[in-house]
Amino acid sequence: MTEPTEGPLPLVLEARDLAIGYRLGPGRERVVLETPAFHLRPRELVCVLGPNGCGKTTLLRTLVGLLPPLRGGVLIDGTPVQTLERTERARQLAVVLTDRIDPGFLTVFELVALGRFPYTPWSGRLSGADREAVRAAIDALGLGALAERRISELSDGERQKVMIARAVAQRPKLLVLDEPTAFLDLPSRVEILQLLKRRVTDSGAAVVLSTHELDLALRLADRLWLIDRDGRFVLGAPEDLVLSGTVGQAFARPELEFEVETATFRPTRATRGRIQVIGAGAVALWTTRALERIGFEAQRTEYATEPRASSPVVAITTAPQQPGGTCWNLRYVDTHDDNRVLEQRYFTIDELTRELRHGGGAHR
Amino acid sequence: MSDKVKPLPIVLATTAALVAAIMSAMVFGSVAIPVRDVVCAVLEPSAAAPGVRVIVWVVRMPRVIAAVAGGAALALSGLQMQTLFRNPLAGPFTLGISSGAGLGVAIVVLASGAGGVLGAVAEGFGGYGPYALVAAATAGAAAVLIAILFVARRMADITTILILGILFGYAANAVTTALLQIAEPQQVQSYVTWSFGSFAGVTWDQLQAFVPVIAAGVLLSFGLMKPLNALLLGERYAETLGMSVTRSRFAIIATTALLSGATTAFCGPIAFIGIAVPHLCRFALRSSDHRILIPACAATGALIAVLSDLIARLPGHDITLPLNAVTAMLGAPIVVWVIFQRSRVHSGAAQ
Repeated sequence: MTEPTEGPLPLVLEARDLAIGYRLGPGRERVVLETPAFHLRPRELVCVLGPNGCGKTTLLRTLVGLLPPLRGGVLIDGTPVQTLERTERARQLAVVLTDRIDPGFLTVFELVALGRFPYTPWSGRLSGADREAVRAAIDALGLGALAERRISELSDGERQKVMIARAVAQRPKLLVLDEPTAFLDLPSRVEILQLLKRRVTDSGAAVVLSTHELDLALRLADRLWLIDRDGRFVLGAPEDLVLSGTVGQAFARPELEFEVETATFRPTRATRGRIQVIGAGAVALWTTRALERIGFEAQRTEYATEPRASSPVVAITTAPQQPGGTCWNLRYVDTHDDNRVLEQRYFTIDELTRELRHGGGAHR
Repeated sequence: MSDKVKPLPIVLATTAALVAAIMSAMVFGSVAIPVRDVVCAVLEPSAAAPGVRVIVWVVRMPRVIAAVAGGAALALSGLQMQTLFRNPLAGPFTLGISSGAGLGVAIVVLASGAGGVLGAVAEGFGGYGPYALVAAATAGAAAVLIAILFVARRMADITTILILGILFGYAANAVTTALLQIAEPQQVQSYVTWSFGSFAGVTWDQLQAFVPVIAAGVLLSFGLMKPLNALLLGERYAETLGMSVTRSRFAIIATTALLSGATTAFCGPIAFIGIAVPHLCRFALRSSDHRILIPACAATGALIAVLSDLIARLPGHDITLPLNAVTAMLGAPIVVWVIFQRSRVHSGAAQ
């Protein structure tokens, strides 16, 4: 699969039939990944997705010229990345690594100013234009209030924003980030990715990042580069890849399947038989998920149905007198007692699932 | 809230303290010479009393100059090693420079007592007199330096270089210990005296070699401010910023070895200044910026060295303390204080 390269904007990056990996010695090499031709345009945000060890980091290192490709070539703005002089390369490409840093007494401003390294003279002295670029990068990442704070006083999320601001201060054409959301809490992950989407691409740079955040990547990325467990490299718009089943295949496990409708994974192993959920909206969705979690094959319906011996029914009704405002009515056929229909009422999903996991009754 | 320190008052205070320390080092010693007489003897040597002239020009002035140069050199090499290895306990001798110098000195000390060709050569250099020791220490430090640079060009991993440097040091120390075991007590004594470190034995002739070498090393250090700052992010980030890691690493190790090797050759292995002064500067200035730290370490290193030498003389007494005993007594509390400060900074960050 090869992408068409004609278009209104110039190409930031162009890769031709890459084989990436490591040279182990003369004539011996380990190919990690082979890719079709692909390219990047200004302001594009690309997420690289794939399981651990599939070659995401190796791919990113190759794109920024830290690792020579085994075959094929990477062009940055038309020039092979390997032939770029190192200072010139640092002006075109900025990188955020997963390395933890111990910057001692450095302040946010001083650290972001290190992004001007490829522009400053031998002494590292900042010109007026350098200072302006540093301030713009700090503001773009919303760090204005922290500019004079020391890195050691910041939270992990703030530190990561500082590292990204440092990369933005490099004024690169391409910003490459290796798992920028690893080690962060969920709100910080969302915030970092949104900043990359909204503020960093504003500068005109293209952004490539590797991540395990499938749901965020599906929402934010302009395109995905997907590496599956067999080492196949697939690219396209996230929606195309979901609808074609590529995303599901790439991440499929025997015990997990990708549900296209909700873009989530669910357990495939239904060991407890079928169960019907009567209800609508978020409550029905989360009830279904809870039942799938404990091993039922849950079917959602909005119309009342009667329980059968093989499939109990959970009917969700409102219960205004209860704190949660909702109650779950479990109806099942008791095969030991002349197939009588029994009914029990629960006021939390926790009570319901506990009963279904440990309680008596034919539905087990 | 910023706790930034204003640099100007610190620069003025350090300069004033350095001038005061140098002045005190000229005034105090086994005999105290009034400030006015010192100034007169410096400005117009012919007019001074012969005794004062000898003490000021022959005894004290070369010693103070050696202390200023040696202190600055050790502090700068300690700073660069700590940044290069990202290790607060690194110092000028982390890569085994002083062990190599010590081995050279031990060989010369031993050979000068022995007969045969080696002994004759050593005697020709003036026995274990000052020149032979300087030559031997230089050769030993240079041998270790060449081995380290050879390794540094080929090794990808900085930790490997650190470990190999430490192992070179151990190996050189082991040979030295073995040599001393077969030495005469008098020879052991002269080795031990060298290993105490001293600015006292440096002559004007030696300063003509020592000072230019240190001046060159200090200038090279100023040239390394930018790569040293980039290394605060680690070597991999520095590489992505356009720095050549292998070239910068080579330049830093070579500069450090020049500074600490020359100092060890002329003054012996002087401990603690190289480790303690960079920490003192970082915490006093609350900065990790090498554009501030390099001049600060040079000045503070010189100041601490002159003060240590002054204390070692025990003004008013005839006996002197080993210089290394004084630097350790001054340096150890600084390192302890730094450790407490670090833990405070780190627990502060966790809150």
